[in-house]
Amino acid sequence: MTTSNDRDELARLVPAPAERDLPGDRHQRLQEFVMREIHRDPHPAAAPSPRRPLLRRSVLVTSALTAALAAVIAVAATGGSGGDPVPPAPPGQSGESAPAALSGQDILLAAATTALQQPPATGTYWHLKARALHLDTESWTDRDGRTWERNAKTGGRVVAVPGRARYALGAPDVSFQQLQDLPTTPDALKAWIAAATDAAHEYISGPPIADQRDRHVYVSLISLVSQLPAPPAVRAAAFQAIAAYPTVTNLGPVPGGTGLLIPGVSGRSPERLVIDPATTQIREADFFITPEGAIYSAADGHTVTLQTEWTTTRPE
Amino acid sequence: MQQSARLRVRAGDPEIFRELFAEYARSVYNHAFRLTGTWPAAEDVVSLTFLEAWRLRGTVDADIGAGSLRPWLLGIATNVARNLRRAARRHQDALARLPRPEPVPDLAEEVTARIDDRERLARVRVALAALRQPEREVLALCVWAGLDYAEAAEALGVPVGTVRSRLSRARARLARLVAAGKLREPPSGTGQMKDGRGTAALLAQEKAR
Repeated sequence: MTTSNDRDELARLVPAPAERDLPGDRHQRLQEFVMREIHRDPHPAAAPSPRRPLLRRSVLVTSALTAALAAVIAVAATGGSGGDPVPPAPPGQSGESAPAALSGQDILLAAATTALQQPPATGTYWHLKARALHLDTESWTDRDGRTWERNAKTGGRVVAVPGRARYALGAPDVSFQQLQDLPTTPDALKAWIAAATDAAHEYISGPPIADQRDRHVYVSLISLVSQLPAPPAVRAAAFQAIAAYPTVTNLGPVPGGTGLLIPGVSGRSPERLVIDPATTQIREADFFITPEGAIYSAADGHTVTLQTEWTTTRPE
Repeated sequence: MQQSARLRVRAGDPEIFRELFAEYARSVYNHAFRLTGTWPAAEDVVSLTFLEAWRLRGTVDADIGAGSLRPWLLGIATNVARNLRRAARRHQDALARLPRPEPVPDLAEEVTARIDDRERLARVRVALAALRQPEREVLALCVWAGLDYAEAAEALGVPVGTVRSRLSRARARLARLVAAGKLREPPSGTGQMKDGRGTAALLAQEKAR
């Protein structure tokens, strides 16, 4: 059963209803409305946005990086009602507080060093807990890849997940053991993930276009530092790799650690992470990457709190 | 041509948004209807999608070559339709300035719709009710709006494999509906697109845009 058959069969079962136009003069009225709002925007982006595409690998010098980020924040902050909660540090406020001493890149490179110094894992179960407004999920995975989970679907009970755990590393799924064996230098790690991404696409429709591959690699790197039971050296390499993305900025101290603004995992607005500099754990994020590889975005004004740790026991 | 459209979007050139609206508002409107189930909600999605497109203009990828901006807009529309209240909250000041339509009873439109279209609408509603939201979204994007897998993945911000598996699950779920007698097999010969064109022809047409 190929996917094109899935699509053809779906088109046969539920053909699209006839399309219709917006009723009456609504096309024109709505177009006028949208154009009025666009012109009303106090910052109509007179100059082209200096922001680089999300996943370019080039590293900008710090001043250019800061300027690019300011532009990103300005774009996000000036849209719509102006009450957009996404950028946690609107430009109007950044000038009032003391400038952050370290760049986002500095924070990530420091995290790489700290990650390497973390004691090797000693527990039996990798425990992942994520909570948000409409999300409450927990899982325990042992070194053989057996997983137990507790969430809304299980009715709040801890149940064994059938089969061995596979982890979404961007596009490809990997086993627990593959995670442990990942390369430990940034370039080799990215190359490994890119190759695995190509392999995962091969049987669908040829290799992904370069931009998609880059995005999958990026999401993989974020997963490695935030959610997956990767060993210290792999996490360190992932932190180094993320530090090379152009638009990463330090938002300064926030509850739980240090705030970072990173390129969005879903390819849209930049998103926020909170890293605990002492342990390098990611405590909070605007998103959660589900075991299936989908991206759950927290509701406006909310974040996902993350807890990851090795434990020796799991609840029955 | 398309490349420069992307650059103009990123640069915040208002006129390109006028052109995008002229070209794609209808696509967005129909896509939104299939996701929300009502025409008034679909109309709100149209307004919010273009306000969101303006807000998110800096995120459009200018390096993607000649790709149409239609998948980008349909992706935004999908997100808006998924959480209409959230988008409305974000743009509540603007929406307060939105001219309200003259009330037109939906029923009148239904009655004038052609019989085969009403039949299709009924099937769409049965199918949508049976599917989970992620499956509805890939069905609407890949089957009804004619995006290819890569475009749908881009629009939804998920891996291509996820699009594929959601479509597969949607198909399995609808097959069970057919087996349970809750969704009739379409009459043979008229199951494809209107005037007999198949998906491939539809896709070719979409590609040409």
